Amino acid sequence: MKFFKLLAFSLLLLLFCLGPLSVQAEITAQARLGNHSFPVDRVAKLTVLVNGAGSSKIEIPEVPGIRFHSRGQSSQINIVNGSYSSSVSNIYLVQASSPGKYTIPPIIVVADKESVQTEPIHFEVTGAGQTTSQNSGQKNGEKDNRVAFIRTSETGKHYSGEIVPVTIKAYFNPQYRTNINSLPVLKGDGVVMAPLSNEPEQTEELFEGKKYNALTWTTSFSGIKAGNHPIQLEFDATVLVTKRRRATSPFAGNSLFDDSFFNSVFGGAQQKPIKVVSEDLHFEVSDLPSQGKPENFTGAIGEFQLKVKASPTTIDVGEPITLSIVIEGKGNFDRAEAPVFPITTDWKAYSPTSDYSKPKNLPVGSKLFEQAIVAKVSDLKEIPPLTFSYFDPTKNSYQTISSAPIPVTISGPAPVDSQPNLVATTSSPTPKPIQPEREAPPIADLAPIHLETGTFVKEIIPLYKKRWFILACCLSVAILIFSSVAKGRRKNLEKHPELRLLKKRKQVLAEDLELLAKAKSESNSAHFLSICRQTVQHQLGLQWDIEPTAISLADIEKRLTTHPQLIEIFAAAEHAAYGGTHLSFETMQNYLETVQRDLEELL
Amino acid sequence: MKPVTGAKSLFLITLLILTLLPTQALTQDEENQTIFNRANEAYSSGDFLGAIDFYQELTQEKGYATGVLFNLANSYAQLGMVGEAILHYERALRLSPTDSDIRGNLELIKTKNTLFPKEFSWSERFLGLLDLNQWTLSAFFFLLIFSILHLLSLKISTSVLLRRFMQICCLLLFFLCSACAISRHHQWQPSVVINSDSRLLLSPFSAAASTGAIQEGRLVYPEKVHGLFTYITDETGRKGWIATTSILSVLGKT
Repeated sequence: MKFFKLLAFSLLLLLFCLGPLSVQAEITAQARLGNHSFPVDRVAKLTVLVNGAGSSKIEIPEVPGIRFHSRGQSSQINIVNGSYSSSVSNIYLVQASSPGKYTIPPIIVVADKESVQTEPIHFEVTGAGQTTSQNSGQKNGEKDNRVAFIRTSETGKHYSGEIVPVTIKAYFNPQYRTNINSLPVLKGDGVVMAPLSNEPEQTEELFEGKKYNALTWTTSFSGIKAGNHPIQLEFDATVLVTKRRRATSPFAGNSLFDDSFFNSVFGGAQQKPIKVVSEDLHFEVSDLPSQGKPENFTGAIGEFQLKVKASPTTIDVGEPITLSIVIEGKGNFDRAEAPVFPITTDWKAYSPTSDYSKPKNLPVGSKLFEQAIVAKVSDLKEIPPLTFSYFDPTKNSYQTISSAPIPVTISGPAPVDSQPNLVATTSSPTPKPIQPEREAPPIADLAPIHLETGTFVKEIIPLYKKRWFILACCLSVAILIFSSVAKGRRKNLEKHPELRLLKKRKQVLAEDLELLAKAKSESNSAHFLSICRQTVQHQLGLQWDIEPTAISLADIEKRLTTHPQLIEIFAAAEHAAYGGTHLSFETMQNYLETVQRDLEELL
Repeated sequence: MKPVTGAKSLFLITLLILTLLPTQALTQDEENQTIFNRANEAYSSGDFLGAIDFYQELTQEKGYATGVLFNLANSYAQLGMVGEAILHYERALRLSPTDSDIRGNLELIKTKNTLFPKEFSWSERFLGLLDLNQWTLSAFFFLLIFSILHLLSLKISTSVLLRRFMQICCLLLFFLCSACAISRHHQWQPSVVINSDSRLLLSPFSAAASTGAIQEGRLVYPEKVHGLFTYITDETGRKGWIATTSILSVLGKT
C-alpha cells in the first residue's frame, strides 16, 4: 500500500515539475463550429481549443443576433515518449435569434500573459424546421444510410491542356466499418487526372447535417481534347457487414437475445466489397483560340512570371555566360518551354536544362532553365530580352511577357574557334547547340571512320533466328538423342546378357556362313567341310558355354538329338578331316542350307 | 556445221553463268567500295551531309555493314544529330558487339549529351556483360559440349564422377546462359528517339498533357501502338506515349 502511495506522490510531483514546461510551449487556439448551417430553432456547438496552456481566459466577442451559452471546459494532458502537452477545450452553444448569415470574429485567448486569436467562423442560420444542408431538398433516409460517397469541387469550363485544381472528397458513414481498397480513379475519355497521393487528408466533416469521416485529395484535371466530357470518379472499398442471427424465440414476441446488439456479438461479420461511384460530372473542354496566338507560344496555360539573371556579366569573348531563366506561377509547367534566345551572329546559344519545383500544398510552382550563351564579338553591351508567351484563362487571352535587357561587359578579341571551354563552368548546361542551327563543331575525339565496309547483311536479326544457328542447334540435339538411344541400348544389353550372347552368336554365324559360301564357290570340299565343322562348333560352344574346339561328335550326338541332319554333316566333316572326301556342288549347297537352317533354329 | 544439242546448250549456259557470277559479284564489290571511298572522302573533307548521302545509298541498296553503319553514325555525330548517330552506332553494335571503336564513340556521344542511363543493379550489370547473341552463342556452346561429352561416354571410359560433374556443369551453364539470353532479348531491340523536341504524353493524343521532355538519343522500348503514338518505357524507366515518327527501331530499315 505504501508503495502505491509513493507512486502516486511521485506522479503528482512529476506533473508539477512538468507544469512549467507547458508555459514554455507554443500556445495555439482553434475555434470549431459543429455545424456551419443550422435552423434557428436549433443550436450549434462551438469548441474553443487552447493548446499549450494549462489555464486560459477566453474573450467571446459579441455578435448581434447570436448568443453564446457556456457549457464548461475540459482539459487534457498528454505525455507521449516523454513529451508533455496540455490542451483545454471550452464548449459553448451558439443560438441565433433570427435566420441569416453570421460571422464569429476572431476569439481572443489570453494564456500566461500571452494573447492568441482564432480564425473567424462563417455560418448560416436557416428558418425554423428547415433542413440545414445545401442539398436540403434531397435529404432522405436513403441518403442518410449511404456507406460512402464521393464529391468533387466544381469543374466548370476549361481549355485543352489547362491544369484545373480539383478537390476530391470521399465521405464514409461512421456507422459502418469501411476499408478503402483503391485510390479514386477517373472514368471517362478526354480528361486526365494527376496522380493522387497515397496519404490523403483525414478529417471529420458534417455533410447535410450528418457527421462523416472524410478523405480529401487535392489534385488536378486536364482536358486533352475539346468537347463536353462526362466523367465519374470511383474507388473500391470493403464494408464489414454484421450477419443477422436467426430469431431465437419461437414465439411472435421479441426475445431478449433478438436484440441487434447480439447480432454483432454472436452473429459474426463478413466483408462485402463495394464500389463507390460519384455522380456524373461534366468537364467541358474547348480548344485555345487560334486568333492572337504568339509564335513562341508552346502551350503554357495559366498565370506566369518571367525572371532572367545572367552570371558572370563581365567576360572575355568566347567565354560562356549562364542565363538563369525562372518561370513561376500557376499552370501547366510541362508545356512551359525556355524562351528562345534570339538567333543572331553576335551570340551563340546552347540548349537549356530545366528543373521544375513545386512547394507541397501550394498551387504555385517554378521552372528554372539554365542556358549557356557565348558572345562572339566584343562590342556587345547587353544580353537581349527574352520573351515568354502563355494563355491566361482568366483573361481569355494570350499574354507575352519579356525580361529586361541585362547589361554585360565583354572584352578581348574574338577567338578563331568559337567553341567555348564549357568545362570550366560547372553550372553551364549541356554543350549542345540549339535546334535552329544544327551545325555542331566537329568532334575531334571520335574514333576515326572505318576503311572497310564489312560484310553486308539484308537485315539485323538475332543469332537464334539465323538458319545456320538453328541447324547447328538441331545437330547438337540430334547428337544428344543418338547418344542417349545408344546408351539406352547398351544398358539394356548389360541388363540382359542372353541378348548380348544372341547378338554375338548371330554375328559369328553370319561370318561363318560367309566363309562357307566362299568355300562352296571355290568347290573345295575339304575346306568346305572343315568350315562346316567349325561353324557348328562355334555355335554350340557359345550355346553350351564350352570351348568350341572341345566339342566332339560324341558330344553332339548326346546333346543334340533334335537335328539329325546337322549330326550327319558334322560326322561327314570329321570323317573328311582324317580320310578326305569329295563333295559335289549340289551336296555342298545342300549342306550349306541345312547348316544355316538348323543353326538358325538353335539361336 | 553441226547443230548444238539440248544437253550441250544447257552445259554451255551453265558454264557461262558460273563464269560470269564471280565477275558480277566482283563488279558489285568494286562498286560498293567506290561509293564507300567517296563517302569517306566526303567525311574527311568535312562534307558530312554528302558522306551521309553516300553511306545511306549503300545501306538502302546493299543492306547493313558494320563499317558503313559506323561511318554513317560518325557523320551524324559530327553534325550534332545525336539521335541518328546513336541509332546507327547501336545498329553497328548489333553486327559487331565487340568493336571497341563503336562502343567508345557511342559512350562519348552519350556522355557529351548527358544521356546517362539509370543506375544498374548487380543482376543488370551481370546481364550486360554479354549481349543477346553472345549469351545465345554461349548457351549453344555448352549444349554442344554436353552433347559431345554424352557421345564420347559411349566410347571412352572415364571416371563416372568426373563425367557427371562436367555434364552437370555444362547443363547448368546452358540453362544460365539461356535465361540470360531470354532476359536480354527485350533490350536487344530498342528504338531511339530521333527528334530533339519529343515529349512523353499521358495519352495517345497530340493535345494530351505531357509528363516531360525526352532527350534525343534516348533508348526506348516500345510496348504498344495506338494511332500515331507508341507507348514506351525509356532506359531510365519513364513511361508514356510518344509520337511514332519520333522514334526509329534499331532493327528496322533505314
